[in-house]
Amino acid sequence: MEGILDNKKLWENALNEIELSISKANFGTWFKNTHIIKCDDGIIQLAVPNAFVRDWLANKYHKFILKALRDMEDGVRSIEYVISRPDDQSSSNKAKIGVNKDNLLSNDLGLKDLYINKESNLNPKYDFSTFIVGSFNDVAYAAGQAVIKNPGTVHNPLFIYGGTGLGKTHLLQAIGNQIKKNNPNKSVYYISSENFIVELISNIQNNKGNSFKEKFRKYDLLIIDDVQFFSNKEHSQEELFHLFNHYYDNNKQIIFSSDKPPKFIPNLEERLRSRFEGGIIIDISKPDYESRLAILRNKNKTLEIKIPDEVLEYLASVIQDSIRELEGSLNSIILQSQAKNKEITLQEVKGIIKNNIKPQKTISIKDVMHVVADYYNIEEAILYEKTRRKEVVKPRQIIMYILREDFNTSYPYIGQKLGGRDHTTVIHAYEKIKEEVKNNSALVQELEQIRSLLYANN
Amino acid sequence: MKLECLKDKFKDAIILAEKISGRNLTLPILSTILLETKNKNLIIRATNLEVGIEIEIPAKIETSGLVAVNASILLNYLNNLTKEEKITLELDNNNLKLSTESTQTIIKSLAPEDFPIIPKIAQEGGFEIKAVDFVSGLQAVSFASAVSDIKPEISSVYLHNENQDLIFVATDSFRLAEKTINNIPNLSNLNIIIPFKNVNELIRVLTSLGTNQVVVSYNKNQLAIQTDNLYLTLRVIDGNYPDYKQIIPTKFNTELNIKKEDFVGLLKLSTIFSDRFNQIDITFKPDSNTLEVLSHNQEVGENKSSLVIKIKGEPLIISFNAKYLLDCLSSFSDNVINLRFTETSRPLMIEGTTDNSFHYLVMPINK
Repeated sequence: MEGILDNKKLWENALNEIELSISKANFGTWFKNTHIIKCDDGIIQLAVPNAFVRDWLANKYHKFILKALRDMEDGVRSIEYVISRPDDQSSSNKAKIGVNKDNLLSNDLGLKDLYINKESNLNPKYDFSTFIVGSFNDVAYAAGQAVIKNPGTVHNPLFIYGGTGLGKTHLLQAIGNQIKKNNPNKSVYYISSENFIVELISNIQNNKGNSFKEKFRKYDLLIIDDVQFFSNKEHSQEELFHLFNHYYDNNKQIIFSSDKPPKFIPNLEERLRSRFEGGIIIDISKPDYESRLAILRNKNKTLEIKIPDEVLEYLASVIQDSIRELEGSLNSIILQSQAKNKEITLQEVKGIIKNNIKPQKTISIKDVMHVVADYYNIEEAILYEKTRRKEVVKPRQIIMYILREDFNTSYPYIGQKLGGRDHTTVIHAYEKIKEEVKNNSALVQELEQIRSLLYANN
Repeated sequence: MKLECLKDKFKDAIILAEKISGRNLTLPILSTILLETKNKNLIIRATNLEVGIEIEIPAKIETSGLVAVNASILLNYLNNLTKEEKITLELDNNNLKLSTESTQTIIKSLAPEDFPIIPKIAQEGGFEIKAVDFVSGLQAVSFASAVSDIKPEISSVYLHNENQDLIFVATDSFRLAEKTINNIPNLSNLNIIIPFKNVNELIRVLTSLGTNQVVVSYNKNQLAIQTDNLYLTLRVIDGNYPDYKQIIPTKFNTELNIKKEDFVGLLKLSTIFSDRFNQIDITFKPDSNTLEVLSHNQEVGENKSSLVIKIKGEPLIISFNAKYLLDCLSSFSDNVINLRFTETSRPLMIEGTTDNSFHYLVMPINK
C-alpha cells in the first residue's frame, strides 16, 4: 500500500468523501494543494500549503479527514499536517529547481530577455552550433556561409524556401547572428513579413510619413522571413520593392525565406518576383534519415535526460516531414519519462507517438489520375480515350511517370489502367518524362506541385 | 456580547485589519473581521490566508462574545462617523449592533466559528528591532524585487544575517539591491524569503507602529511580528534564495563620484527622449573628465547632455535602462554617490560615499 500512486488514490477517495460533507467554497479553500506525503504504520503525513490551512484542518476538519481515511484504509491511526510547497512532491523535482536557480544569476543576471530585441530583432538561441547540416540543406548552408563571408556581393538576394519546420528561420537567424558576431559594427535586422506589414500599416495610420522608410533603410543586412505572406498585399509589396532596390543598389545584403519558390507565390507583382529571383534561390528539402537522427542526437545531448539510441532511431524513422515535429515528439517523450521517473522503453514510445504521427497514407491509382486531371483541368474520362491531343497526352504521361516512379507499378498494369495501352507506350512515356525532368525546370515544379497535392490531401 | 470602546482606537485597528481581509474570494468569511472579547480587551482579527493580523484594543466589556462582520462595510461605516467619541457594540439576533450618540446601526454577521485560526509561531525567540528601522530596510530594496509569480523565490525580499547585521536583499535578475542594518541583538540563523505581496502588507502595518520596538519571530513557513497589542503573521517562501554574492564584481576599471541631484537631472532629462526600453547610452571620458548621456527615440527625438566631472580609470561606453538607475537613488542617504564599472557587459555597482549600508547592482543593456 506504500506506493505513491496508492497514496494519491487514497487521498482522492478521501477527498471525494469530504467534499460531500462540507460546502464547496470551504472545500476549495482548505483542501486545494493538499496531498499525502507518506503513510507509515497508520500515521499519515498530509502536505498542506501554509500554516493557516494546517491549523484549520487540524482543528476543524480533523475528524472528517480521519473518518474519511479510515473508511478507505482500516489501519489509519492519526494524521500529521506538514507544510510543504506544492511543487516539492518529488526530490528529483526539487533538485532541478535548484539548478535553475543557480543558472539564473550566474549567467550575467540573465539579461537574455532584453537581448532579443530592438537592435537586430535576432534571437541569439539560433546559431550555427546547433544547426545540423545534411544533404537536405547543405546547399542552403553553403550559400549562407558565402553570404557571411561576403555580404552583399555574392548572392544578393539570397532566397531560401522549403516546407514548414525545416529550419529556415534557424538558418536565417544564424546567418544574421554570425554576421553580427564577425562584424559588430554591421547593423542587422530580422523581421517576419507579417510584422513588416503591421508596422507599415501602423505607420500609415499614424501619419508618420517617412519614418518607416528611414527605419528599414538604415541597416546593412535585412532578413525578411516568410515572404509568401506578401501575397495580395499590394501596398506592402510596393514598399518592399523600393526597399529592395535601396539595398540592392547599395550592395547591402538582403535575405528572404518563403515556403514556396517565388514563381508559386500567388498574387505577387512581377517586378518583385523577378527581383526575388535575381540572386540565388535555394530550397531546403525534407531531411533524410541520417540527418534526422543527427538532429535528435544533438538535441538530446543538450538535455539532462538521456533517451536510448534505439528510441531516437525509431523516431527518426517514423517522423519524416518536419524537424519541428521531430523535436516536439522528443520533448513529449522526455516529459513522459520525467513524469514516470524512469527510462522509457521503445514499446512505450510507440504508444506515445502513435497519436502524434500521421498514419501512412494509402493512395490509389484512381487518386493519382484524379489529382493530375484536376491539376491540368481536364476531364478524367478523356485520359482513357485514344486521343493524342497535346493537352491530354502530357497529363497521361505524367500519370504514368508518377505511377512508375513513386509506386513502382508494373508497366503492363499502368497501361491496362489507362485505357488498355501497350506496355511499350508506358515505357516510352516514363523515359520521356524522366529525360525532360533533367532540363525542364517548369516541369519539375509542376511535378512537385502535383505530388504535394497528392500526398497532402489524403 | 456587549462592550464600549473609543471610536478612534477602534477605527485605527479596523483600518489596518480591513486591508488584510480577503477580497473576491470564494469563502465569504475571509472578507470579514472577527471581533472577540478577551478579558478587558476587544480583539480584532483579519486574514486572507497569506497574512493574518490580531489587534487588541482596550474596551469596557459588559458581556463577552464574538461576531464576524464584513470588513469593508464596517470600515465605511466608521469612516463616516465624525463627532462621536465612544461606540457601543452588542449582539442583536447574532448580528452586530453599533450605537453611538446619534446613530443606530446593525451589520449582518457571518458564523464566527468559520473564521480561520491565525497561526502562532511555536518556538520562542527571534530578535527585536524598531519598526521604523525594519520598514527602512524593506523599503530600501523592495522596488528591485521581481513582480511576476513565475519565479517565486525572487519575487520577494530576502532577509538574512551576517553576525549581528540584518541584511535585506531583492533582485529581479536585472538589478539587485542590498541594505544592511547593523547591530541587531540576538540575530541568528535568519534566512527567510518574504513574498513580494506580503512585503507591502508588512510595510504598511510596521509603518503604523512608528518607532515602537517589535519582536520578530520566524520559522521556515512563517514570519511574525509582535508588540504588546498587535500580532501580524505572514507566509514566507520555503526555498533557497539564489547565491547573489557571487555576482557582485570585485574588480573595477572606471570609477566616479557624482552628486545625486546632478545624476537625477541627467537621467530625468534623457528619459524624455529614450525609447520604450528607457535606454540611455553613457560615455565616460577620463581624459577630458566628461560624462555624456545620449538617448534617442525614433518618434520623439533625441538628447545629448554632458557633465564635467572627475573620472578615474578607463574610458567606457555603456547603456542602461534609465528607470533602473533612477529607482535606486531614493534609497541612498548620501548626497554624493559612488559609481563603479568593470566593462560594457558587466554590472554597475552604486554605493554611498559615507554611508555604506546600501549597495545597488544594475546590469547594462546589451547592445
